[in-house]
Amino acid sequence: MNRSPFKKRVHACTVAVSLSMMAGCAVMHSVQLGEINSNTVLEGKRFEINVSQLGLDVEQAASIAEAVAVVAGSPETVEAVSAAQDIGALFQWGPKTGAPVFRDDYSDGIIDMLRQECPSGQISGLMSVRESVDYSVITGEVVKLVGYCGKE
Amino acid sequence: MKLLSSALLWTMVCLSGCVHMASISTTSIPVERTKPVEAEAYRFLFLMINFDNFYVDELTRDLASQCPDGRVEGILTKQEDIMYFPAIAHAVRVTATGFCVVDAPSEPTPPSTEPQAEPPPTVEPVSDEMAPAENGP
Repeated sequence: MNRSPFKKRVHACTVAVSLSMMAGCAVMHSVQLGEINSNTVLEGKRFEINVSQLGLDVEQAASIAEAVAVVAGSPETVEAVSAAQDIGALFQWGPKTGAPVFRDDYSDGIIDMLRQECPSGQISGLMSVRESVDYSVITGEVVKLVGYCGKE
Repeated sequence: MKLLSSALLWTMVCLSGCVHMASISTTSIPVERTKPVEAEAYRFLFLMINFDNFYVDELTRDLASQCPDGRVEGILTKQEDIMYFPAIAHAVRVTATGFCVVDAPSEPTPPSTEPQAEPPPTVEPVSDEMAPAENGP
């Protein structure tokens, strides 16, 4: 099967872009460290709690749809997508971290998870990280806690 | 003129590196602040590609190892997003600074050599018979 150099380049670019979209990109929004009892951190048991929620980047989805419509040569679709993008932007305006999620209480159970991970209650060096994993249009909105549990 | 404007444009682009503060937090500041400790996590991002954020996980142990017999208090955690060159060269730096607080060992109190103070004399109640008459005859 002989391919022209242009087609080969397009194919390589497509593969590269697909791989980069599949790989996911991790974005850290904030990190916070709690107080540290060195004995607990150096000798205690490390634990990690992750809670996440599916996010949907509507703006990115609209941009892709708009690009597809441009390539397809459909100006009506481009206009419709652009209008939908503007309307969506009105509902998602304001400061935020990551993409919008469908439930905003997904991190409420962290306290119970902490109790399960460390029944002794001797928790120290608790680090909370808010991050997003971007899979293009779909995102994972993650809250992560890393801490150390001391013995009773 | 075109050459000058393009040179000016490239100079501006090259000098446009800047730092953004992404997040900052602090815990209670201790009274004892004689021994500061610091730890840093840094990651360079080529084309802004980053697959995980595990590089910050060791910050806690790093701080604790600098203060093995005490507590680290007053921790200021700062996250900065650095742009060295637009779209190509970025970095994230997380800095945690705090103060190592070591509790003084509790020593047993030595027996006091000073003589104990004598207890105050007890005052006996004055009987009615001994009491002087308040009003004369």
